[in-house]
Amino acid sequence: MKAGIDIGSVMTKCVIVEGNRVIAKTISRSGPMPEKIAENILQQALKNAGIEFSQLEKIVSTGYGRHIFSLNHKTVTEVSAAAKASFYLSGEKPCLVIDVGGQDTKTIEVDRRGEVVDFLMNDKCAAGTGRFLEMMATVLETDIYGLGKLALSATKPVVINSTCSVFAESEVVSLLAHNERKENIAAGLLNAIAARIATMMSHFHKDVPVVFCGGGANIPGLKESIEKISGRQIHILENPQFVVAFGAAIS
Amino acid sequence: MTQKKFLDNFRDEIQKGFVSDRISPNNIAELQKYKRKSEIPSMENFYEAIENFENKKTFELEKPSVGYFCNIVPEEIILACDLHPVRLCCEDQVCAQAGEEIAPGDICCVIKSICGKFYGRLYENLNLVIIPGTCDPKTKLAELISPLKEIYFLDPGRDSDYLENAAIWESRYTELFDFLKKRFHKNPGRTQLISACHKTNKRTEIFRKIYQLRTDYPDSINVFDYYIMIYASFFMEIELWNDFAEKVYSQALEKKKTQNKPRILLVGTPVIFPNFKIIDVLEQSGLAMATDIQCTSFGRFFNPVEIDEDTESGIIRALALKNIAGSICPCLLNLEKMANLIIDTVNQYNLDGVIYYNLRLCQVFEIQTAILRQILKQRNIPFISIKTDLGKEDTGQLKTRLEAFREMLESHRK
Ligand code: SF4
Ligand code: SF4
Repeated sequence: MKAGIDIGSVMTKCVIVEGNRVIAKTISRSGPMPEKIAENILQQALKNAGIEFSQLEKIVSTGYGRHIFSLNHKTVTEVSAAAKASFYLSGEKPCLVIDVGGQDTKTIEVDRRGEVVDFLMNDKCAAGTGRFLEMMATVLETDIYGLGKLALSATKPVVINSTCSVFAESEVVSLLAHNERKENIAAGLLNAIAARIATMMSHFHKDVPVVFCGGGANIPGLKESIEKISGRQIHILENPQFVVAFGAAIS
Repeated sequence: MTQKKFLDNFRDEIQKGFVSDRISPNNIAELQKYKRKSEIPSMENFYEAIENFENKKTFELEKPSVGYFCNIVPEEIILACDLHPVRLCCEDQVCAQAGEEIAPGDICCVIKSICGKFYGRLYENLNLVIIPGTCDPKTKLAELISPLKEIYFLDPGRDSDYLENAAIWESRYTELFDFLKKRFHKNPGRTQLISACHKTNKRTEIFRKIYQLRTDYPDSINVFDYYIMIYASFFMEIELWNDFAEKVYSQALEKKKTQNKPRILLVGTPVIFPNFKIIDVLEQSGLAMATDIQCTSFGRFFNPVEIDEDTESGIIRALALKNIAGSICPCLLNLEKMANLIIDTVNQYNLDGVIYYNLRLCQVFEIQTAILRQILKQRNIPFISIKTDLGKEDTGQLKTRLEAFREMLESHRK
């Protein structure tokens, strides 16, 4: 049995596998002491799986905090882990992976051997990431899932001109001040992110299936918004938030 | 174009308005950090030279010194006039913060750093500054620092085709030569030009040996030492640099060891001490920078001056051929040539991938990123572009990207 731990900037996830079958998964906020959290959720996962620590042949950590976890045997980056898992979960076929996490948005091209051939990640700023949506959700007095739900009942999505968190925030505040419906603002925000992701996608081969993972895949309406803008069909992988941890476990 | 008077009438107002008077960036701790990583005893010479330079913050030389930017300013002409050339290209966060006062907002950190250095009075001992019109911000920079220094503006245009431009370049270089002679009361001619070319050619000869050695054995001279040597050449006396570099080379020959890390070509914005973030991350990510295409290192040193006709104008044309026609600066080099240079370098040295490094807000580098990515992708050359600035906050994120790049290159090798 093997464990994969994905220590992300917002959430830490743990998956235990037997072969390639998931037997336990746990999740928690990363918080200020991510290593401690990682240990806790590993313990919790072991308990859920009904196994002992000593029964683990391998622990692989990934994510932003991959190097701080001292119990690991190996680290892989979230790019390789997402690629590995997505390839396996899409029936070992080439694919284009979209991974929207707390701090990064990535698009990864995986070839027919399951190897990464190219990837793109947002740079330093939070534009286009889960963090951006979190900040905007706060302005709309909800969370990212609430933001997604609001967007679903938009009648006329507004156009948000910037994915820079600072500019977008003042844009949203001013829209609210002008009595714009929150639903339309939420849809505008999703579209802004989706447009950025669609641009990233355009740098890769157009003829492979697109799969979606990371916490961002759980945001209602984001997938549809990307589909609409990119003109491509997107398949959300099962338990998207755990895909990277699963990828680490099977690495 | 000869000497220009810019903001002369506003000198006092501008200086009074600048609060960060006399800044003192302290990069010695950083320098020591890299010195500890060095395995070549004679690198000490370069570290010491930089320490002295950083400590004094000025250059106290017997000769008048002339500051300049970019490769298109011919060092040989400055040397021929018995002046001391100092390359001023700068990436320093403390200086950049001070420079915010002069060049705030969406301006590249190179321009901000330079403004900070000038207005923070770190360049008081320079007698003259030659500024080329390579990119738009540089053109404006000439004006911005003109209240503090005498400026010579050199504009050879932005086309690197030799046949089309040889006559213009020759006249620009000749004007500069005449100006320097007059300004510093010197009377050099052909002999002094030839002797200056010998010095830079000697440097090329040594650099090429080092470059070749590093492409074969990147660890023989670690990446930090390599860029420390490059930085020291900005202000060191050329013959002394040649002498020290020769020693480093001979000691590095004993350090040849094969290594297994993916071999990288680093292309883009020059890496200038103290801004070593990209090479720090590159090293921590398990990658080996085997070679580079950057203006301050490869671009500046790789090609010799090739004199076909040893008259004064023949030499000046040879200098233009090397410095302008041979420029690898994106302001001058067209995309096709840049792409071919990258492809040829990757093939020739059997490199695993290309890191295209770009400082935020430098448009000339950024604008060609997507096209280069496409061209290289068609040729199955792994490519990653990194855009960052002088801050350290994104180190973790950069590390993820470069580690992922390393994992990708390793899987390709299998
Ligand atoms: S890249 Fe071009 S403009 Fe920038 S420092 Fe080098 S030569 Fe000058
Ligand atoms: S070439 Fe780029 S980094 Fe250098 S001065 Fe011009 S804009 Fe700034």
